[in-house]
Amino acid sequence: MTEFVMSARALTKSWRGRRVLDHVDMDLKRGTITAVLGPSGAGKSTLLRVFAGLEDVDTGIVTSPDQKLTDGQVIIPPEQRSVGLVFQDFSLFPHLTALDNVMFGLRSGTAATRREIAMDRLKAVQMEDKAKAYPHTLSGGEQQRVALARALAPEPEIVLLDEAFSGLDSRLRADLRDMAVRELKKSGAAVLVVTHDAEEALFMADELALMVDGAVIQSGKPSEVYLKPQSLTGARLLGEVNEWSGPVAEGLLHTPFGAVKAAGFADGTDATLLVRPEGVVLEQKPDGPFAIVQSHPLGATNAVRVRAPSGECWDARAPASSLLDPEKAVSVTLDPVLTTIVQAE
Amino acid sequence: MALTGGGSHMGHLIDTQLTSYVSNSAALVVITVIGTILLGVPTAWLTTRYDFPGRKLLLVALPLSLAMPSYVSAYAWMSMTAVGGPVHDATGGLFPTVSGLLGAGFVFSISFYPYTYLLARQAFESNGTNSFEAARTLGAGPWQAFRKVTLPLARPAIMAGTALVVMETLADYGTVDFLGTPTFTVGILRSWISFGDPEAAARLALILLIVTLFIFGSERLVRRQSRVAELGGRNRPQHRVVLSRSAALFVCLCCAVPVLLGLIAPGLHLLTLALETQPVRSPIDAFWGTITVASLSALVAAFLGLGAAYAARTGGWFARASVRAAHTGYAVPGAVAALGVIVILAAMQDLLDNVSPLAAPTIAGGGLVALLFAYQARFAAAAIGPCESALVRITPSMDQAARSLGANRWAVIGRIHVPLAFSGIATAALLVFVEVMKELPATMILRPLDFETLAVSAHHYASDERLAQAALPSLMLVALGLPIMILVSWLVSRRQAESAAP
Repeated sequence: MTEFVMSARALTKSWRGRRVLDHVDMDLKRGTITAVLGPSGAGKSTLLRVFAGLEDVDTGIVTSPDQKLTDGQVIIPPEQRSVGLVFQDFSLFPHLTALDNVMFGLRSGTAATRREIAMDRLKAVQMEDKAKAYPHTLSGGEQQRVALARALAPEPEIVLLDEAFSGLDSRLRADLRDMAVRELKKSGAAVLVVTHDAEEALFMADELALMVDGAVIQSGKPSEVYLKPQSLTGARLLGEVNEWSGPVAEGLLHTPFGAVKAAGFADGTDATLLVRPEGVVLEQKPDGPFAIVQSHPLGATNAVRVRAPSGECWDARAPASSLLDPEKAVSVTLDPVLTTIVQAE
Repeated sequence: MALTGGGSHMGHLIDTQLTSYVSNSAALVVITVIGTILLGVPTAWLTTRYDFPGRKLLLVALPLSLAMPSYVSAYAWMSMTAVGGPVHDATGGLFPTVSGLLGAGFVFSISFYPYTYLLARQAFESNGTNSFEAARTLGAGPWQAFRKVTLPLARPAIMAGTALVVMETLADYGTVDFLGTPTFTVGILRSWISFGDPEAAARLALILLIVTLFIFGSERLVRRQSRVAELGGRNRPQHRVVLSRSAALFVCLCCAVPVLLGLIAPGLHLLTLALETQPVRSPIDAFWGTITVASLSALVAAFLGLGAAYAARTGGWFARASVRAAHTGYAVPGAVAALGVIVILAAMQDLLDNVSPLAAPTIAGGGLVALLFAYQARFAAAAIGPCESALVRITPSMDQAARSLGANRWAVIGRIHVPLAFSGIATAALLVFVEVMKELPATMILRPLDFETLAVSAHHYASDERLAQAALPSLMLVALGLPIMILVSWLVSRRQAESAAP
């Protein structure tokens, strides 16, 4: 199942003196969703546009199993690449109906069969009722569905989604994401999702790559990347994290919330401890050394802030039922699964 | 006047001239439309889609050909391509002399292409190149994607620009008169000035008015449709494709051609002519004449425009209908507007004479006031647009915020409305200034006998085939118009940047 559809090697590109792509390697595999997560301006969209054949690179190559696609210059133009692209603004053609938009990429077969295929596509995204509607009469979510149907209609080998859900409000986003993953998996295409939303990346990805300043700083299975970040920057991209930096002494890093084994670090070197809030386990203990500072309900859990005797405060999560009110004394243990030590930055 | 009485000249006119006026006007419209589309649309697309050295400069330079009145361009090109002119000599006479129908079409194309360019560019820019790229990824080649997606999206805007071009072509007098391609406007002026036949002039004016109002109406209709199409997607900053060195050079040269033809070449030629020639009369009177009417008109138009924009914003249906009527004024060719003013003045004279036959003052010529009135009828519309767009930026919640922060009504106007609206009002005044400065036919009809403007004096010298003498006043027109056009485009782009900020 790990068949490459497109691979990029050592892509590098500078724009106005800034590195937009910095030796990026990436493989897009059939039936696999690869997500690239990074802050805006990290070069994610450029990477996607290079795969699509819409942009050149300075050096590096993009290949498919049987030919070279980009070698500095774009060799194979976008229309010959079998890619489907969903834009952040959807870019539906405003002068065409939803159905005609979906039919645009269908070239073979009679008009009737093309219409049938397009209708099936619209049905799959529950838009068959709006087939005759023009884009400006559709809501954002509906436009998104049509855009997805349009990208998938020609059965491309690769589907590229560029911040495809970020224009929508959060509830709609979750619904559409579900549907999109289902449709994308069904199509068997290699999928590249570019986003700055950590939840979206973790939810959709089979493979996750973190991108900062044009470079991929870490990649792997989403859970692995989440649980074992290799840098503070990477950890922060995926969500809140508590951090503590200090020198390693006798194989241990001493933090206000306890000492942690720093395997692989020489004594005296600086290291940074990263702990996700849900890895800070609190237990109510009248004589505990730590105190709750504040507690805000998030729903299933409470966002709790806990203070060490040194004055340092960390974020933690506690079940809503735990009744940890401010000023209560607690003990703290750090869950090793959600704890990592990385080189200090 | 047009419907009553038949001038003796009219019958003669129909026999001899009318067909040639009609065929000249029609042929000229066709040539100019093709020419302006060929110059305006590709440049608009290239500057939207690609990034190349010199692009920013071209964005400023491409609309500037509007600062060169078409008749001035005609003088310069005729002189350059006539026997003994620099272009004629350089090409060994291969480049034909600019005159007649094709010459006028050429001059109009290089003078009016900015209308098509500006509107097409706006459409390309707001529809985004994303649609184009989406089409590419869906299997359309570059030309197919442009033809099937980009062009249909921009078609309403291109048609609106073309309608402006047609209106300008029909309203022009100086160019076609000079190049010997009499159109309707020339017919009106000739009937009026040479044959002294106001009835014939009025009839011709009425026909011309009907045609231009029809074009104006369709332009409005098309523009309304285009607004719907623009709602199709959300905008985000354009991705421009960076071109390789040789491609960039080629594109840059292509985009420079219209500026070269429309502004730089004729401008430089006029400059050399003016430097070589000893003027027979100082142009200083004409200069002050131009400055006087243009600045007075600009001032009045800014006030009227602001009033109209306020009325359109706050008033009821009557106010909005009046504003729409004022907009229509832009469709009225200068010669027609001038005749209209004369009709009104004549009616007033009749009224005064009837009331007190002896004491009635003579307002017949009307003098400068009549001229200013005609300018307003024609150009006040040009002031309404920028004023409206200035007022749109002021939302009721801004008023409320200012009031809640302790500003009284006058402070709100002084500290919120005026600063926000200033650039729009200034744009309006400057646009009217340039239009009035370039205006020829209405000025020819209505000006008091001893009153000169740069446009009129350039036209007189050119009609007498003293092109070298026409160079100086022409050049002064361009020298006045050019910085103002640059200022206008700076004001507009600053306003757009501010509006886009939040």
